[in-house]
Amino acid sequence: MANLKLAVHWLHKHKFEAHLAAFLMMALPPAPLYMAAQRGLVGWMWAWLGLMAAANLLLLAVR
Amino acid sequence: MAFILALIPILLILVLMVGLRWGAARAGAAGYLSALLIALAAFGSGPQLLAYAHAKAALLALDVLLIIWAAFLLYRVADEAGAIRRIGDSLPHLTSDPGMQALVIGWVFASFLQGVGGFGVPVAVIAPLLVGLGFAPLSAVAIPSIGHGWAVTFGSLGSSFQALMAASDLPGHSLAPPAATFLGLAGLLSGWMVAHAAGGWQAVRRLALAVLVLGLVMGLVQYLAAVAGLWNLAAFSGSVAGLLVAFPLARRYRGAQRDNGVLDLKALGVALSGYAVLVAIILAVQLIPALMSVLGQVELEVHFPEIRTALGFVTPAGPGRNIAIFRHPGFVLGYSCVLAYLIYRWAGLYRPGSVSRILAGTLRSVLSSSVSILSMVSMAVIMEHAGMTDALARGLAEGVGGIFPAVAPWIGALGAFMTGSNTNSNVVFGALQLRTAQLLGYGAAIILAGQTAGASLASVVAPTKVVVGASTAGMAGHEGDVMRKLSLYTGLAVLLVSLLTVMGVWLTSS
Repeated sequence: MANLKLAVHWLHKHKFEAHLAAFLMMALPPAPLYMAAQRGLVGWMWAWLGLMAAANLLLLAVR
Repeated sequence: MAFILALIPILLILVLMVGLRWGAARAGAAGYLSALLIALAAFGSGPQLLAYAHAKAALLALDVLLIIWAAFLLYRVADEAGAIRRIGDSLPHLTSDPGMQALVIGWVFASFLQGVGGFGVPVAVIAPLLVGLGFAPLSAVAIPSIGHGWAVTFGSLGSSFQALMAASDLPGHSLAPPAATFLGLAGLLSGWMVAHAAGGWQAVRRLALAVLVLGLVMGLVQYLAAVAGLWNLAAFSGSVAGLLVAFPLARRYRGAQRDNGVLDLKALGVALSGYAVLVAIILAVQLIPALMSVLGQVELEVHFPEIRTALGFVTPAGPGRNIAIFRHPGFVLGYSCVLAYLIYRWAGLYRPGSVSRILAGTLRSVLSSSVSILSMVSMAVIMEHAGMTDALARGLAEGVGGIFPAVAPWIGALGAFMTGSNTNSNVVFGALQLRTAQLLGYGAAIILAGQTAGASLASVVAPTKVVVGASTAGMAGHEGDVMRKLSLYTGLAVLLVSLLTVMGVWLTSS
């Protein structure tokens, strides 16, 4: 719990860097997602969708 | 059940931003994650559907972000040169009446920028100007937002109206008269609301005549242009007529300071040149066919196959958002940035190191907006492809039955709120509104006019647009406050359109 609080505090102090990381994590997947969908590579689709979800979880954690 | 589940992401964003005052980046992320989970768990969306939806969303987001990035860059180019402060210092010479300043800049000039530009540009350009004039940041965002909503359908050179015609397959000459009537009357109401946002009921009473004159001129000219088939230029024509009337009219409202001093016209001219260049370039690109053709040669277009959910909802095959790179409003703003920088530099307005300060300031300002737009556009496209948007619209239309004409503008408003765009709302809901109107026996043109007018007015309160305005006025992180302030004004305007739609249906059926 204390570690979580520390992490949230760290993210709050480094908001710009966290937003930059989230932006890159969201900007990267669409092109590979399109290609994976074209080729039916289900595993890759889940992996890139996971990265998108992780980026949004990161945003959710930044106060 | 599907209706309630589809409503959750939108409700979540509303509650988090308006109720709990979360910033758009966090609320957008929550909305995105909820839409993703609901699409997967309850609407039969598989990984392939979500993959294509994300790719489509990226194109749509790029379309929006290019404009936002370039609008911020233009603002920083002008601000670094001291042009914003100079314009702010000079405008009280025209009128020092804050209410009249709000009308001229936040209503008429904002509508002009919407007429020639597009998504987010009016608020992004005007909010900092109003802050410079001494308006509170919250009012500085609210005033141009309220002020340009009526000009969205026929603004951006008629792109939303074109989308309505394409989605409904109805001719422009049957759609234009009711749409221009509804939007003209809503524009008049917008003027009074701008006066109210600037100075309360006292300003509404004092500026009633000015609003009436400007509103009638802009609404009438827009109506005449639209009915004459010039819907591409309808909002532009209306707002130019408004500007021509506004400048002499503003001299009659000089405010408390009777002697407004001597105006340094040369310095003001240099300061305004950045924005004059913007207007000149937009007009040249839109109105000179040869230039439009040359700049439109490089297009970004991605084809998407037909996508079907496990529940049978089908998104037809077709191209995603088509982006003509060098003719894109973001690039057009970019050309303006370069020219404006050169003019200001030639005038000796920059200190050493200006380029790095401009770029660093732009990056810091746009990052938070960019992540929230990526999240929210992705959310909207996931909902569209999963059939959640369809479930939402059907639930609304079927649930209301006989009072459908009153509800139609609210459906358009909902679409614009979700997607941040009048055009997208018309694309998503145009055909649905048409089918429902035909099934219930109402005049389709009136219902579709209500759809686009509701969407036009509500597009200004969409989170993606609020984020842009809030950032430029130094309100980043306080988007919930902006949405709270805008909600009442927007609600009133959509309510007016709702009443007009009911009256229109009643008049055409009797």
